[in-house]
Amino acid sequence: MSDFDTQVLVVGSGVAGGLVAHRLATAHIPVTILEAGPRLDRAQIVENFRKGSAKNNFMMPYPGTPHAPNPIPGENNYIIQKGAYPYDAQYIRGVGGTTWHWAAAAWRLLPNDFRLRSTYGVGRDWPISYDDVEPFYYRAEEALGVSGPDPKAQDLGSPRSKPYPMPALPLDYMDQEFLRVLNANGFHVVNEPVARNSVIYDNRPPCCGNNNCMPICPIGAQYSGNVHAEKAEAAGAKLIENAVAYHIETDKDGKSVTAVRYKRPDGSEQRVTARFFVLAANGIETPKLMLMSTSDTLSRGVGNSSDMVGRNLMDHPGTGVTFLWGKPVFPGRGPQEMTSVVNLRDGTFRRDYAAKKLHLGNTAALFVATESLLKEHLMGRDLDERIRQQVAREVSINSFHEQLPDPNNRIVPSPNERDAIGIPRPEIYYSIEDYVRVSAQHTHEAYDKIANLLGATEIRHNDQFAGNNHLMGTTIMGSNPKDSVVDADCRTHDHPNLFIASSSVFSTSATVNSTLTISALAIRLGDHLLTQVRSKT
Amino acid sequence: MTLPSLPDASRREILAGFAALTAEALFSRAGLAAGSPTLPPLPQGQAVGSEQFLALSQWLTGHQDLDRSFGDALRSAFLEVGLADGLANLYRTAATLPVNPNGDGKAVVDGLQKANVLDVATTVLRGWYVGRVQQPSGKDITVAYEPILLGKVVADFANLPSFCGGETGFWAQPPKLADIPLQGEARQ
Repeated sequence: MSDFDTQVLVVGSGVAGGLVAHRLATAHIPVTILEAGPRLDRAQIVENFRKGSAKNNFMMPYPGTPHAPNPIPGENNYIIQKGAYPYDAQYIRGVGGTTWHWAAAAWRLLPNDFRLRSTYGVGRDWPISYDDVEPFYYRAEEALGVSGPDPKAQDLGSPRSKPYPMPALPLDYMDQEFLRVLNANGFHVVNEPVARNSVIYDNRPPCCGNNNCMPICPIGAQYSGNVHAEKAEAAGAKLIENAVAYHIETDKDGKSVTAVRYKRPDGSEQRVTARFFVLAANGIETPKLMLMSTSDTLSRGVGNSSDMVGRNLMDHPGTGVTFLWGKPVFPGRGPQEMTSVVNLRDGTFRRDYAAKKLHLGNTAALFVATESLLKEHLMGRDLDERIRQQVAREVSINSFHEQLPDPNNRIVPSPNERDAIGIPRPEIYYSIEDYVRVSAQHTHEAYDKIANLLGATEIRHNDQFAGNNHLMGTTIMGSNPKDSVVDADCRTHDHPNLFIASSSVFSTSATVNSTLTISALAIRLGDHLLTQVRSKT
Repeated sequence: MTLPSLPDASRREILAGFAALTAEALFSRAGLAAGSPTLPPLPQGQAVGSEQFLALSQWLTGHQDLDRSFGDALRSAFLEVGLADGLANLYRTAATLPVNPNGDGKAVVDGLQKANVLDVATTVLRGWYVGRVQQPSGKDITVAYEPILLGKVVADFANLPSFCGGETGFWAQPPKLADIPLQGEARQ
């Protein structure tokens, strides 16, 4: 009989925790998953969306729970803003995590994204290379079900050992035009690889163009993290929902982690012991938990001898532009994102300003346009005609700017503010550095150039930076224990049996959505843990 | 997969299709003759009931096939936020105007504004087009989603988000603007 409640305890059931747990459970390793929030029902989320009024608020269908609040900017203000720039992160606390609402963009990083410091003299290098991760990228693409372009036809800049598991979905008419016009005029537009089925895959249907990837794919054609949480359970993992981890225990030397304490919605407390621990509760809740776990031995919290836990918060601060295309292009047909402009993802300019990816949104401005026209007191056929004309032409382009790790951008547990069950809420100190601001000026000019190429009118820039909920850097990976939290194996430098599966380990932010890299690292960690567990039992 | 771009000739066809659609298909069977009022008078002291609300809504929108249960739900929502008198005033004003929104929208707007009922008219239109009714708190409630007029107006080229648009890949071709549900069902 084991001395532990379970061999591996995973905190968090999103895509990272689910993939780690699934890898171990399928190898018959006893695994327990703690999930702060409840199980979510797809049909109910769809119903919430249809009944809700704020259709562009992607958190609206996810009301959350008092014991595990979802941050909903402007509603519950769960995250306390302390910095120069508000960081209105959104995430879902429930089985499956935040990939319930995402556009399923499944990009790989570029090789240079792993060696930013040595190539361009800014930021950091990862202690691992693209080549180290490449096999795991492919396994992640297989696990999530990624459809993407034929590598012989389109070079996305990330070398591949195999083609994508599924062929790319055909582009909608608007994106075909976008690609054609921009590629003839000095830009490089490619199909976006996405964790969205183009054919039946993993018993999930192909996309039928609900155009509702965010906030919820109604049919599950798009991957969501609950898939692997449920697969892990089917393989024998134990998943405890509504279990909010609030303290990590260590032995008296502060070296080995021994247990995690969690609270139930009624405030009652329990603990789970394990041989190994994996924190997979995203880039805000994970460092918060580590910093809350102070003891006589570890006055700065768990894994924090470097004082880097919670620091180096990075996202992809984005700016945007909206305009009327010079002709009807009918946005809103098919998935919500289909192409990206990728020629600004890398180059020597990164010495001076941030790289970025631009992407055309494939959503129809149905409600925004109609509400605006109603305010002009249009009615009858005038109203209908104007709605049609506006919706058929109004498009938006947005951007992801690379952000450098800055220790001053950080998340800490609030010393004063607590949630309904007495757990500190996150406080965030955040600002936008000149590296991003200079790049955003260039992005503004690029938007104007694109708008001109498309014969646009009524061009409206939004130069305010918006976060994209890619919560990176807060338990940063590095080879030096003095300035990083985890090593190349995602193991904390301070605790040999404590690992982290999250974008919080990213050493650089790069320019693309973080989920595929999270998934690749989680699968890699699963392999590593499997070896570790087998060597101990 | 590479798909052919749409040639300019096709673009012209699309634009021509728009014109034909909006001018003919959308409105030719609207049942509202330009310039003629169609609302029977509302007796003094009588509230706007279900039938009158539907007639008023048909007059305002130009759409004759309005969903009756959606209309009842909207009327209830308006009554709950205290619009009973506003609806009655709007109806009486609309019944006296010599034009309707399909015939001369600007004249209707001027007439409603003069009678101080333009905001109520916009509130009713907002209910039908986007399904939303503002509460005294300032927040909106959604009365309905699937039957909103916005969805019908663009149904030939955009599906309401969360409803399946068709078979995988249907979006690769430009929409066929002439072949639309608006022609058959939405207008009588």
